[in-house]
Amino acid sequence: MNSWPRRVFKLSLVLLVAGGMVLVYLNAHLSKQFDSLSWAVGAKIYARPLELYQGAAFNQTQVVYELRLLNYQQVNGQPGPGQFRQAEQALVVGMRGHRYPDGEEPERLVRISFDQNAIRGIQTADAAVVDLVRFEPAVLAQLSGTHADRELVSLHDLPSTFIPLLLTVEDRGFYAHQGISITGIGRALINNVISGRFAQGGSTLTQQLVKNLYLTRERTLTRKALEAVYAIMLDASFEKDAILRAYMNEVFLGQWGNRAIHGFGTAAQFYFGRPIAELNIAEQALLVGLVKGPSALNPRRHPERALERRNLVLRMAMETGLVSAEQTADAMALPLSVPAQPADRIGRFPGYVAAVRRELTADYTSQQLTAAGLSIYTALDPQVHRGLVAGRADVLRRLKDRGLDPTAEAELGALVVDLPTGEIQAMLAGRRDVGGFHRALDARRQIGSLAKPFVVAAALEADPRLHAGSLIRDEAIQLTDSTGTVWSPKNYDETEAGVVRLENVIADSVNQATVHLAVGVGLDAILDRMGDYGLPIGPTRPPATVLGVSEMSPVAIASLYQALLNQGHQTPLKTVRFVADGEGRVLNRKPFASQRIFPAGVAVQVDHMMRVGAEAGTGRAFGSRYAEVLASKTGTTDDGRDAWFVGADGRRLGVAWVGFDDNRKGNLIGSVVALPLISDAFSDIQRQDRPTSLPDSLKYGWLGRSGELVAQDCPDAQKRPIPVGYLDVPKGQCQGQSGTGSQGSWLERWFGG
Amino acid sequence: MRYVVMVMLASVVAGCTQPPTARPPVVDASWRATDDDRRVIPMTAPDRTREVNESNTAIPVEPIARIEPIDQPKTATEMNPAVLSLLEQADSLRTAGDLAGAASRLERAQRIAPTEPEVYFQLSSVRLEQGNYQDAANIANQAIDLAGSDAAMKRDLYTVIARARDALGDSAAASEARRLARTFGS
Repeated sequence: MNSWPRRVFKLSLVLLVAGGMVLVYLNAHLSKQFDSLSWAVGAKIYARPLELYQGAAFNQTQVVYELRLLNYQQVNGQPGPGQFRQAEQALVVGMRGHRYPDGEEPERLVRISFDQNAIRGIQTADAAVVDLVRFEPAVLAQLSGTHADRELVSLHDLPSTFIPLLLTVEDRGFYAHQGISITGIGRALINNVISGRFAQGGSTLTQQLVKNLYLTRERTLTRKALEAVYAIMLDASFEKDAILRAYMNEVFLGQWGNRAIHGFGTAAQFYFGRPIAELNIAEQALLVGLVKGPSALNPRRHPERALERRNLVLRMAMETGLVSAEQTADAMALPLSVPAQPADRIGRFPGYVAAVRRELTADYTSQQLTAAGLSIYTALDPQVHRGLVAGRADVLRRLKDRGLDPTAEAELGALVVDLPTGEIQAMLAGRRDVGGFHRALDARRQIGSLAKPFVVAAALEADPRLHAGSLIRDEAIQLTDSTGTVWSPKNYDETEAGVVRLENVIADSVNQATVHLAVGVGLDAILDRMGDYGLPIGPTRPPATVLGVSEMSPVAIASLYQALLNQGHQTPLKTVRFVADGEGRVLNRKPFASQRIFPAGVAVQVDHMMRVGAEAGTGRAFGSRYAEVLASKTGTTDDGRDAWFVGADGRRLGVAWVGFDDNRKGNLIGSVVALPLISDAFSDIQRQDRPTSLPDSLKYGWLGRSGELVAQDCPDAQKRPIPVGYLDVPKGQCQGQSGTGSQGSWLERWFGG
Repeated sequence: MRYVVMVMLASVVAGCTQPPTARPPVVDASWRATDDDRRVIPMTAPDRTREVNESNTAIPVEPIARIEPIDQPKTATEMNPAVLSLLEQADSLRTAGDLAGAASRLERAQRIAPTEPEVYFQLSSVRLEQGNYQDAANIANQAIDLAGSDAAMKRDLYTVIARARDALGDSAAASEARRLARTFGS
């Protein structure tokens, strides 16, 4: 039989142990959540950084466009970091310093001067020449983690006045108290008793953080008590600065639709469109003031209240001696300077971001991508993307105007590639470019006439005597395939020219001549070679492969044409340059590599035939829009189910597909509905001529009107790259005079043979 | 640094009856063994021959005499200063053993000057040092198509290919590359 005191003692012991266990559990729980805060940010995806140097192909307007994307503010005086001034044919820019995986860029003031369409030079403030500057890359997207969308700051990112300002207003005893403030609670209690309701908080920053992190928003005494216990535990377990940093990144500062604005870094971007480090004292005061009531004091909805609150904060700062009376007066005279619309990211890039994710799935799990705080540096070019988006609107309008898309279901996929590096600069997944089916990556469709350049390349490889002027038969042809089916292709316009030059097979996309060429060289050899290049041929090897029955995705097409228009050297296409971890260590780089898949001479000859296509053939709507020398190929499949366009300048390659997901008949034509996508994508950038240099196996020669080699001074002689061996034969006389010249053997071969 | 290069280059050109020197000033010492080689190299080039031999004895290193280019490819002054500066940085990093860093500088240079064979030559050399022989050969191959009439460049590029082929165990291809290298200079 136990005595009472003994029972009480036992019970107390049990309670103590149980309470202790609860505390230990809570503490562990709290700590775990607290520790994971810094990891809760999804991977951040960056655009390519703008690099400027003498001769770089950017005019002043284009650089200003990029500066605005990066939220540089235009000023009239001397620019500070994140600001610029426009001058006569020059920009003075206060570059923000930043760290890119392959090097650091200092914060500095530079003067960038311009020629008409290029950078003339770059100098520092003391007139030293700068060879190369690189701006910080714009953020494209944040892969959604639990805390996506958050602009994390550390304490040293903040302006020096910020923490004193915050503590002055919210928690003057922060560095002294143990998580809660007895005087604050006492004051709140008295006020609550007087007012007869539970209204005032008297919370320390630690308590506010606890409330934000772990508790509901209801105002009950129980919650309040729990909040105090948690706050004391947090204070006991962590450094003050760690708690302050968590608070900085966690505090609730506004709502925009279903997006909650948490943290001062995010709020600085959301309300001012700039990094917090660049905010002046008035702007800092506005953010600090918002803590008290983010929706009641919302500067966009209630500007007068927000202004009043900001000025109250400034007065408090003055009273504590943080800022002088003069500074306070100056700051209070400033307008709110909050743009009406939140400065969002530089746009939306779901098609591109999906490709980035796809590219990284081999190396990272989905969880790592959304939760590991990675920085992913890509090649996205905002100006190319803008052009491609404009092209999409253009194409959808044309489809509608022509009655080709009454149900508004036509789809598209497009991408633009940097030819020498294989970097993908922009990409659209569909007409809405939202998540889901990615047509640029996954839509496998008949390629139609896009196959012709590969037929010609295979023919040029098989018979080195062929060149741009070789005459090819263009008349009805019947073939019987392996299954006994008779196939008699027609030309697109159902005409026959009798003979055409080889270059016109590509430039004018002539079907029957393509088949004659393939049969003349040997269909099997042509198909084998096309398979080597990477076109899917299939086990039944249908002869119609030469007219493009193979099904391919836009990105696969881009990969083949990249090689063709890059002197035959194929570079793996990629969106990602580097992946770095939260500390800036490079985890992954995608090094440049290349591989020859066409002989250089063959690729360059086909390239030149595609230039004729852009100048005077099926792509002339593209070629005639711009002054530069361009190359192109159109594609259209049976019943207009697929419209394709491939276009390139000296630097970039664009590929577009337009069609319907259910493969219905569409009366779509490549040169009409696919071409504008790429044509527009080239509109905002400085285009370059296709290169004129030739590999050793070719020399420029001159062709007469019927494709024979003639002297340079003949009227209408056209300059074309010709295999060097072939130039050794005597040149034909000028057009109108007799002489079959070197053509004889070719006519014989194709007509007589 | 760049100005040093220019001045050195100018003095070399001035003392030379031949046309202006063909090559920008980034040269790998191990493949240009002769001293009459116009060594307008601003960077310290350590004895890479030894390093390479230590790391991979399979690669014979042939000293290659410098020849005059057949005609006049671009002078260093014609190369974009930004590219020159990146080539210099790449060379310093490579000397310091940071091959990945060197490669990323060269790729940055490639974006600025994608038809400059020197950039590809340097990149292929770095790939060779990284032990990435297939890529080294492929990139050198690509540079040959860009080199135009720069015989010295072509010879050096075929030499890279020969070394890469040797390392890959394809001695026939290596011999052929060496033969081609010789056709561009002795």
